[in-house]
Amino acid sequence: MEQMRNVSPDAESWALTLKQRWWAISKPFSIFFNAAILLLIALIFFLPFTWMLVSAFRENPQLNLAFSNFWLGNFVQVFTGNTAIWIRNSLIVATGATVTATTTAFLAAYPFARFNFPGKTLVLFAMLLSMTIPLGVVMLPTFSLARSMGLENSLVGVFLIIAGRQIPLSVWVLKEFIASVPMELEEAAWIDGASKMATLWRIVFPLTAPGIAVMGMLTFLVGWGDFVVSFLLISSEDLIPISMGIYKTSLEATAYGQLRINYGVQTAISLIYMIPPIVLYLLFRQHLIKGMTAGAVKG
Amino acid sequence: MKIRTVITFLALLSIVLLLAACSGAPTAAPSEQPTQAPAQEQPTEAPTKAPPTPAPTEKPVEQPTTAPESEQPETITLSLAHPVWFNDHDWTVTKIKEWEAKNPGVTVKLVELPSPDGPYREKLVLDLASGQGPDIYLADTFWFGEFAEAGYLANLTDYVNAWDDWSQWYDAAKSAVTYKDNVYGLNRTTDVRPLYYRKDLFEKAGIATPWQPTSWDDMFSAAQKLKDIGVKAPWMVKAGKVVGEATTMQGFYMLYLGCGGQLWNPETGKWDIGSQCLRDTFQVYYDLYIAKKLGGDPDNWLAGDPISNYRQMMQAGELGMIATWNGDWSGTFGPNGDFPLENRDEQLAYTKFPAQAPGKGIRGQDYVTISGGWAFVVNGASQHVDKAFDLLAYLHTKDNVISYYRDQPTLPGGLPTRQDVTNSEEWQSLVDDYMLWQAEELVPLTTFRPPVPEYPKVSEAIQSATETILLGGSVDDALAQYQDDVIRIVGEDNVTK
Amino acid sequence: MRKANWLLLLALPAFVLWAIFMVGPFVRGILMSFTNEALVGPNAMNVHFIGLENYRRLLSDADFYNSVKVSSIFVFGSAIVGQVGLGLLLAVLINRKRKIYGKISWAIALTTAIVILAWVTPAAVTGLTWTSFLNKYGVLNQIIGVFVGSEVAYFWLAKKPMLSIILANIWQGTGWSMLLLGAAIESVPHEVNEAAEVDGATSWQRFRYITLPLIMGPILVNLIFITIWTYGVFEVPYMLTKGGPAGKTELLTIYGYQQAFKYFDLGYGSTVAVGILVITMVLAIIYYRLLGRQAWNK
Repeated sequence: MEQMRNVSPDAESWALTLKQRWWAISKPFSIFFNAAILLLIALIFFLPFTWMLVSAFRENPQLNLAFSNFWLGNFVQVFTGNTAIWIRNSLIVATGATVTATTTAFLAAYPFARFNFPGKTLVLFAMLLSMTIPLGVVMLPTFSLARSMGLENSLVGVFLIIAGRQIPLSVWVLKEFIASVPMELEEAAWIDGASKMATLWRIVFPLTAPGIAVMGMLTFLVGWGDFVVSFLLISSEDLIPISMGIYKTSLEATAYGQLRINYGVQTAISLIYMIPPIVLYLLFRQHLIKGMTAGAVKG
Repeated sequence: MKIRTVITFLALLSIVLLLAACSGAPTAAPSEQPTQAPAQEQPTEAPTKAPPTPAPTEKPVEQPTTAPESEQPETITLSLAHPVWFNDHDWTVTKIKEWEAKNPGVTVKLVELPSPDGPYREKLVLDLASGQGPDIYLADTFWFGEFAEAGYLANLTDYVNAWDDWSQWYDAAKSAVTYKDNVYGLNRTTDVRPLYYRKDLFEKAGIATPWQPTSWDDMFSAAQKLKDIGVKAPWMVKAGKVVGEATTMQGFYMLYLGCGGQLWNPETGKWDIGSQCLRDTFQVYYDLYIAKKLGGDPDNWLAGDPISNYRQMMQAGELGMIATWNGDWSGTFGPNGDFPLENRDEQLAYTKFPAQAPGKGIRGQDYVTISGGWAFVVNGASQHVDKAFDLLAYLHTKDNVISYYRDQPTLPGGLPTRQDVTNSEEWQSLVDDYMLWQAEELVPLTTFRPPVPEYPKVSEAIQSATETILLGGSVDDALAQYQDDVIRIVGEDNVTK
Repeated sequence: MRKANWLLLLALPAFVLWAIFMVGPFVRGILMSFTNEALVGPNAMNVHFIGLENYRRLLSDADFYNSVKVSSIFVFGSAIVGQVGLGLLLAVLINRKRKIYGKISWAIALTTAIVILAWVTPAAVTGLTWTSFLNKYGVLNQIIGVFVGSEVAYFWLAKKPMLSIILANIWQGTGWSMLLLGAAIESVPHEVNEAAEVDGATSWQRFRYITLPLIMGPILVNLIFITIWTYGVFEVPYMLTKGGPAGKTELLTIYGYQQAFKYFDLGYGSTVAVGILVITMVLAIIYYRLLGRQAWNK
């Protein structure tokens, strides 16, 4: 950039026309080149899905791509099974976690964004650090804690644990969003006589909606995808979520020799399993991008 | 000023909260910590002595109606846990209903836990540790050591001794459910391991059938002939960590017993980490998978689903022979199996697995096999051991074991543990030639795994060592690694080099 | 910034949830790491404090060092190179402010949709999908087979286990980076870029000297989160390789999990957890230095 500035006006306009010409020539190539890279990436990302898409509609598929006759039997089996209950349970977990984590994190983010108080940095840093603890290695203490609180075999227990684990990230992100809301807006409302809670609800909340959408969606995805927490806490047949349901449809080898992996049913359920996240993304896409933009600018 | 109080309040609260979180462990340990529950209740009796309430009824099954009068007021619920794969579910439910009818006031609730074995065990142990486990559960017999030591198994010795039927159990079957001289469970069936081979491929390779190898050399030369006609995997031996216990039981042990190996010596309590037999066993792995390339691609055992894979290969005629679970004959390759062979009896055959050379096997045997199997056990923390045993006894009466074979849609793969069943005409008429052959030929040869808590970890060290060979390591590498692992598990003093 | 008042109480519910379900178990775990607590075997009946014994064992445990190495390769490959690198490339390609955006918007829409689809795919499905994709007779080999003209039976999960789990993780995680960095690039003021273009800067120069410095902040934030998340990744690699063969993909999480759940050795399993925290903490501090204080306190 430095050297560009030193070019004389003449040369500059010449360079401009040259550049325009170059662009005219290279534009088709550039379009082609860009589109090609994009499509290549799209293709590569799509390939792993093909087996699932094909096998869900085939009879007794194995772990390779085989185009036998189109067959809907897997779905019949899926819908005569417990799938509806599994979906319900997963929805309870995901929604519960989303509402709990997002609400509490939003409320908590407000003081963190607006006030200085002793220990603030410490708590924020502790929260960040706590995110580094993988669930996999604190599973047993988490489990025994939940048991001692009477949360075993309860969907509430599952979503509270998930929500608790989502709080640090949510607080961090929402804090940034709230900080970006001009304080004058709030102050104006106070002068008009609005209470502080009312201001929070009517001024701050709508302006941070994109951020809330982002965190809500992330938490929903975590809750919807959860396997580990449910596996630990849930033992009743009618409380298991769909992730465990998929697992149940597969039986693996034992020393004893039993085996039946029904890939047809597994892929069929998997397809159904993927619908809510997709719908959610389509619904919140605009918010998500807006939210990310706002969050990213703050960085 | 107001702000200060708020801050002070918050600070105090957070300290209290953190303290509460911290104190979870130390204060809970003696009292409320759920994992300790069994330990508190049965400090020493459980593993070594009689059950706390040694009042087994003389004939629990035949005379169940005498007891209820006193027990009428209390309604109890027994829970029975099993993994998802529990094939006998429907039959068991029928029998439980019958038993419930004879035991008013008792209801039995079936609890389905996940499958396969790993997750099943995880979930089960968590439940047991919290003191809320099922009253009755299905357990692999090789878990007995670890479970009994932790207090998860009720000692049933007095119950079985007071039960006439127990004398009908084969001694080998008894030892499968015995740990440190105490009986902890009832096993209805046990399994054995034959050698399966593709008859049609053997004939194509010019090997006369029926074929009965008498040494490992016989097997190697047959494998070589199969390789010559283009069979992808002439002789597979289960290996690697992915298939877990199957590697130890159906791969390693079948060879190791054939050169007289004894993994754990019950007299001295020492583990074998350096015998020639151990070396010979690993050498077979090396020859098959690396040196002579007779075992197919070693990758088959390293990831994915090796069990389906070998079954598919057997079906497709790409696998020559393999030692595996006896239930594969009907459950996998039979007409209703997962990988049916079109014309099984023409294509597939079974035979005894030979020792390294005649007479070289354990106890001087010419042929070897090993048994394992699952058993019903009673939770050490159960409040209703009497009733639980009563139910188990009912599920294992002679009539019901025969019914188990008669009243199920497909013939179960396991062999009965009761002599009076195997000797009964009814049972013999119910089962096929294959089952009779196993009962006659394999059961007398069978052996069991060491009934000690360290076994599962040692077994894993074996799996790991075979994996080292699959990845191209030498026999010495595998042995060295195995030695390190076992010494770490059982200690320097408990091994024989 | 105002002074604190009673509104601080708003933080209470979140704080309580966090303290109970995240801090609590970890503190409990730390305490466990000083005991021989186990759920099976003789130790289950005889739990007592054993001081630093578990830590001594950890520091002399070759498997633990192996896991540290494996995890670090995994994080470097899948998070730093893969997700951030590929995510940045995608973010640039889908940038709405580029001249050719209109012409290839259909390709952009398609790519974005598929990459996001991979991102929202639940772990259980990702595991299944990739198991089949990389299977010996799976889709990848079938496709290669079409090009090579003969059947390919290369078992990726066994032969290239680390590459396999890295690819699966990149596949799963890139969507997030793409969205985040894409948003960051779009927030770069249009005028700056235009001015540079008038000055004759090539698109690479514009990216290198204008866009990149401006989005360095978001990139670093993204790096922190992704590094931390990736150290904690467990489910998909476990489903694909179970840590094998021969420990080649035994991530720290898988190692800790096996100690805790296969052997039910809670004491030692918790010690591994503490080890993981120390490693990620060190990384967090390094990033913290890189970012500089102002970014945190903004």
